[in-house]
Amino acid sequence: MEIFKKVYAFAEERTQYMGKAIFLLSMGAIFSVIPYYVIYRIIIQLTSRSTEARVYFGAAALILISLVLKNVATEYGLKASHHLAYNTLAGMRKHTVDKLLNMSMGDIQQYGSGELKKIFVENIEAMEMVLAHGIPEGIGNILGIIATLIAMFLVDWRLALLSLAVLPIGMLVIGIMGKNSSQKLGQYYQSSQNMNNSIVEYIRGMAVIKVFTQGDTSFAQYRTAIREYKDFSLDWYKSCWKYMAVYGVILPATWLFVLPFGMLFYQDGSLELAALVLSLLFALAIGPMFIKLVTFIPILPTLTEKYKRIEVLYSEANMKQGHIKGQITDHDVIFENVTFAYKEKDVLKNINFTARQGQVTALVGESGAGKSTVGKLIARFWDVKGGSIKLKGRDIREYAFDTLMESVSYVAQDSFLFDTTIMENIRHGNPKATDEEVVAIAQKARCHDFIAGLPSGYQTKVGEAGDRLSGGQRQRITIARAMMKNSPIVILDEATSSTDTENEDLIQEALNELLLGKTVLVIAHRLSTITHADNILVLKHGEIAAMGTHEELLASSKDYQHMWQRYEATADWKYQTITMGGDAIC
Amino acid sequence: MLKFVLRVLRFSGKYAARLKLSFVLSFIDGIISSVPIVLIWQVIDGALNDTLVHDDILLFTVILVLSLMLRMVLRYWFVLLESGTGYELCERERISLGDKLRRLPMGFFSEGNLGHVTSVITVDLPFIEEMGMDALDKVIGGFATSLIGLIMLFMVDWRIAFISIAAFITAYLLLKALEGVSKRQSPIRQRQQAELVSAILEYVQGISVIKSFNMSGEKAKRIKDAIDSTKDHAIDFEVSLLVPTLLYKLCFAFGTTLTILTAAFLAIRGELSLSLAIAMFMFIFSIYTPATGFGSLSSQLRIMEAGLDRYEALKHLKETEDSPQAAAITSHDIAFENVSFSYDKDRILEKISFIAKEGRVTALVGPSGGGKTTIANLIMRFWDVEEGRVAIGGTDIRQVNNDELLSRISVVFQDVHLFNDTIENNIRFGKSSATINEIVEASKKAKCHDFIMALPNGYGTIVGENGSLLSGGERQRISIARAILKDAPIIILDEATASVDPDNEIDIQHAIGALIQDKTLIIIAHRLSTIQYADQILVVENKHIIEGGTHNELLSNQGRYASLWEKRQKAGGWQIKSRNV
Repeated sequence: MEIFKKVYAFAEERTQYMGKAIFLLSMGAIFSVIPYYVIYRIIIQLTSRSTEARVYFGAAALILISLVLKNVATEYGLKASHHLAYNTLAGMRKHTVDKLLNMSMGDIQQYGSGELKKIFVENIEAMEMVLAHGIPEGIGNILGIIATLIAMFLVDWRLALLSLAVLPIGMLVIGIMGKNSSQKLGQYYQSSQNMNNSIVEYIRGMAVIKVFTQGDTSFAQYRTAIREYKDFSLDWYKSCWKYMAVYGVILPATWLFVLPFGMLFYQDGSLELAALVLSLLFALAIGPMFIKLVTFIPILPTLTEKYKRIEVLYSEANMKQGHIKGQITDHDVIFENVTFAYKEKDVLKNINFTARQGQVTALVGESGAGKSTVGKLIARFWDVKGGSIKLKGRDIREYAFDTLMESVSYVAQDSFLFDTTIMENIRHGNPKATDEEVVAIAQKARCHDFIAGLPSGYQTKVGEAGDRLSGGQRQRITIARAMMKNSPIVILDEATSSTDTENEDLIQEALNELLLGKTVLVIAHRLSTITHADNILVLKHGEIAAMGTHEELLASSKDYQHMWQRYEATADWKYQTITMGGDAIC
Repeated sequence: MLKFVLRVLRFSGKYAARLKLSFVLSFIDGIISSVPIVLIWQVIDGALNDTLVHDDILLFTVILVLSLMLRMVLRYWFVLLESGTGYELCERERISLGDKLRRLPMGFFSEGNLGHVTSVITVDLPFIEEMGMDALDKVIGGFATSLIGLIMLFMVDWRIAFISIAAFITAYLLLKALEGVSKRQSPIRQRQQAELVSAILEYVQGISVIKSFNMSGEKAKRIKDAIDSTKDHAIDFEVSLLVPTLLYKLCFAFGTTLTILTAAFLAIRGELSLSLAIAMFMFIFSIYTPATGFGSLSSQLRIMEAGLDRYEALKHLKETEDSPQAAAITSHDIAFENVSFSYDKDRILEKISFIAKEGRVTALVGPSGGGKTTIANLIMRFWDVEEGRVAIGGTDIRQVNNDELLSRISVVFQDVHLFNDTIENNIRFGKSSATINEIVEASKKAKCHDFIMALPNGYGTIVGENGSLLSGGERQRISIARAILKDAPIIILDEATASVDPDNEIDIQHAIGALIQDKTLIIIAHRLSTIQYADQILVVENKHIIEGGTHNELLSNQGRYASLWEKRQKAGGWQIKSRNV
């Protein structure tokens, strides 16, 4: 029951719809019993040879009204429960929206956008069947059973009990089935998962399979996984089907005991014929409900299972926000004894440095040395484990997140743009900017020319432009957006910057416009770009191994020298298939 | 509904006979399940005429138990035939689709299609497997019970039977209307769903931008609006079905009431025995039960039909035509002769001609979208050319056996795919017969031996789903080791993605250097600095090759390449700075 409370807590106006649904479904159950009673009255009339047509018409009208009301109440009850179900799903999705806003970026990136989309769409959607159909129909069914049983007990308590006699038999069979097949069920799940993995791998790897002409081998593996799945599932099902055939026939066969005993009671005079008929009617009505009860049993575990996947996200920690608001006026970023560990693994140890306003501070180091982490800590992707990152003498965690974000821009590797007009995308940097200001910024970011060249200019939607925007052009729009925001501290992950030959010079010019006068922290992957940096930090295994300008480090740091050599080798590298000196070919 | 049955029968091919037998069993089961009502009638009849004796109780009990046991056997046999067939059917279809997939052109396996195919096999087929036979059971069972019920009603009295026929016909018409409503609504729902998904995608992909630009208010509102509107549409959909569903069910309420009334009057007038009339009162409630369930079944059937549609569309895709009499490839000059190619009606290449000489480096440069990648893809027969021909060693590649063609080519892929297997087996993919020594040799050349040895299980390390336990650069180098092992004479390389790991670029460069030794190399180049020594540089722009030659020739041409080079020199050692210096 705990799970219902948890899940329905997301629904807006839940008490109203829940009350309505239960009331209407109960009414439906009650109205479904009435016609049987009326039939009982008719039988009494008939056996007493009454020929008064008015009585029969009246009874028929009563039956019709009850049946109509039963259907109306049930359908409207289901409608209310649909309301409840869809409100629950919508509530969960909205909660997910807010949850993502409250989580730290680092935790969010753990999931990746594919996984998040899956939670948002598929996992929540998967609860729809249970919430909108399984539960309301199951509850309607249980209410029907209760109403019918009460009526039966009123007629003849002995037959009422006897109609229940099929339940323990059915349950016993189900119990034996569960016991005998649970081991096979495990194999079945396992093989089903294996098959799915094999299929996904086979399809995703198809290009590789074809290129390496491994079609036969891979197809053989694919086929084996599918055969195994079929064998295990049939093995499991066959072990279940025996029992299913038994309880599927037994459970609705309520008359199995009611009829013989009813005859017995009738013969010993303790039951009237009309009452026997009525009991049999109820028994016939309640039988199919017992079968539906079986389908309701797995609903709770299913719901719990499905909710579990979503709950993992909901139980992530929220980012703690500070309270200081307003503009931050001093833009030196100071790291004091910062340590950081990720999943028990130390990433940064005792980091001390100051990134000064108006200067470029570069972070270099081998991959895994922690240079990206330093940048991300300033944007509070994660929070430090020890020490402090300070802005204007205060730890960045003391500022409201909005305030901090007004001061910090993190220009990341992927140039994400929203599917709206280019104008709006740039304006995201500053919602108050006028069209003229946007154009002015676009000019500075060296993207005005190509934007103006598009058929709809600034009104072109990014999605429509699709492939027409090259990677470099997208990047310049994101730079324009960051420029529009004009935050005094810029963290730049430079991994991006050089795959687009035609635009490289323009991107550089745009970047230099963006960085002018700012506190700049560059996460550098290619040393050539940061040789003029004011301060270069060499990170090694999470610690600062050396610090200084390019020239100073070349003279003093072994690590830096090594990196520089590797860089130069990279820059000089050229494609050649025949092992001869370059000159020989030129 | 019957259309669905026919479709499943067609789909099941040679299993159709088993399904038909199961229908017969279902019909027999329907007849036996009316045993109790007949017995009840006998009991009432006996009671009313005072002919009921004590021994009848025993007899009736025996009949009841026997009929139940018979039904159990029938049910088991039935499920075995029907659901069992479902599993075998889906096995057959999965295998035949898998076989089909490997005969599709390489070009089919784009990102979008991969997701689509995966979802058809892992979502649509299981749905048909799990629910299809169940739905079939309900449809067939429902029809059988209704039909048997009608026959029994006729045996009792044609007037009573007529009431039920009228009820069934009216209900059938309303069911059509119900299907019509949900058919009209379903595109609206799909559109709504698509809008929700796109809003969600934008939100989750853009979340870092949303946070850092303080856009949470605006964007959270947009996505919440989309969520609300999805909810409203879902509720509207249910509401639009409410009245037709209600009317559908009311047909049976009327049928029930009229039958009871008629039976009562017939009994009064002595045209129907009292016992039969009472049996009618009971029977009439169960005759409509299965048909009542049809109302909610139709939406399930539609989902299944949509799944079948998607599945059958895949089965009808055109396969690559393979020529069985393989023309041999004797040398590896690659020639494009007047090649034109369009994709989705967009012309991508227009009368391209060039020769990439065996053992030489041919570099393709030019703006993105100009056609470089397409040229490389055509060599591998991702698609077939529209006009002209692509020849290797003078033989049109369409005349070459597909496996033979691909065995000559190695690609350094855009998106490196590793299988969830050991590193050793992933590398061995390049050559099934490779010894462990050969694998280690290739790994050393590809600069991955050292990091592999540093892993706890070395070459026996499982790489995780799609290699997720390794870094991008490591995956890349393993894929290069795989290609080195394959030792194909032609290498196709896309440079943009050849450097997923800028920190370790030099290692990747060395790995590629080892791979391309003595090969015919086609490279899609992005950095002009790396291709200075190429034997031939082709500038591809706007569907054409606008110039070609060596680096020096192109520079002296003073054309497009020269201007690109000049720009590149200017930007060459670009600097990050925050002051105007």
